[in-house]
Amino acid sequence: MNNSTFKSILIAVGMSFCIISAASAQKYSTKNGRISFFSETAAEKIEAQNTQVNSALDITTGDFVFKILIRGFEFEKALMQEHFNENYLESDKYPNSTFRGKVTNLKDINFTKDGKYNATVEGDLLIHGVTKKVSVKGTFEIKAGSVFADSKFTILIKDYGVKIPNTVINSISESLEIKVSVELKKLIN
Amino acid sequence: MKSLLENHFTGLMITLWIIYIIPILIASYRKCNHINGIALVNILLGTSILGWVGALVWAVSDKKETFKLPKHRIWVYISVIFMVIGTIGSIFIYKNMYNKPHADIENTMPAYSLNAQELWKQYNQELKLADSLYTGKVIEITGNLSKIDKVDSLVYLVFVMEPDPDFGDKTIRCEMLPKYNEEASKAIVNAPLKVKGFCSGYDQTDIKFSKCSIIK
Repeated sequence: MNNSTFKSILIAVGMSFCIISAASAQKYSTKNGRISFFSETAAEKIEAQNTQVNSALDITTGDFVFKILIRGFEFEKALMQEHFNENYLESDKYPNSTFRGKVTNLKDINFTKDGKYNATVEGDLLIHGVTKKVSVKGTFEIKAGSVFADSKFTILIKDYGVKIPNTVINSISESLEIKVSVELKKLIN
Repeated sequence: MKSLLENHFTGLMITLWIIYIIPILIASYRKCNHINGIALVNILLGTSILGWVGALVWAVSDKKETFKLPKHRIWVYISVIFMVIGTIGSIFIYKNMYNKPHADIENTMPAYSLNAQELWKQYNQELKLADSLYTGKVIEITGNLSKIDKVDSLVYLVFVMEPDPDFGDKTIRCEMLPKYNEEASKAIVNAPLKVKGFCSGYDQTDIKFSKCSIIK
């Protein structure tokens, strides 16, 4: 076997590895994830929902991304929605919110077997131009080839530099309960 | 479960307005010598809590007249009228401002009307400028429909712009108003279409629209 044949075999082997790893890089995503938040005090109940959240999960690396448009949150009351966009989240200045992180216990989740698995996701949450490290617990449910990711967690408004005027400080809670629910479907390239 | 304010708003307002005119009522009942002054302080300065307390203290401590005078009766009438107007006014403001309806996107004149490709180009080249022009506004877009997506009970008309490694494609994605679902489901793929809706912005994958209607 001469040198050039050996080289070409090496290249062929190398390439097939690349192809295998590319084929196994499995991505799941949705453009209709649901994120809602909830806060309640004696004076006011605040609830809003965004049903157009982009979310993508790479099950080989554990990378998990959420992209949220602040203007996409819908409130029952138009006035609340207006205040939320104009006074609190300042969505003209900060129209986007994102989460970029990783599933930290990827090895505990068998994406090929139907079932419900506990998961921890860690990463950077960007809201109102402020990025914070968060660690969130949730579940992955594998069902009929889809991944249903659900989580519920709480954030403090002041962590993200959202100012609440003194006049309404008693009617707006300091913490928000955030509910995430996405149905991720396998991406077919 | 609705909030306290919502359930008892009318009752709350009537109570507050009655409390507001209590100094005048006391001054009239006690036949106060200086009821004119008390009433003016009460009505004009009552909103500052100090003014209201002042009027109250004055009303309970002022010298009494021997007889009830017309002014004692007149001020009661005025304060009751004031209270009724105040209550009706607050309820009106509550209904029209606090509870004002959501914008009727379908019947709003679009702030801009442009081609899907053009909108895409602007958001990708000058995000800040495009955000300030289009995000949060009612926009009309024209383009060749790429596909129709149905998720739960929602129908989306989609204009595909570029491929994307994470999401399959980058698009302009229009969530239809439920009343347009049927019409949107029958829209012809690859044919030109004009859609109007509320633009929520660009998340680096999709430009998203909601409450969309089809324009003929």
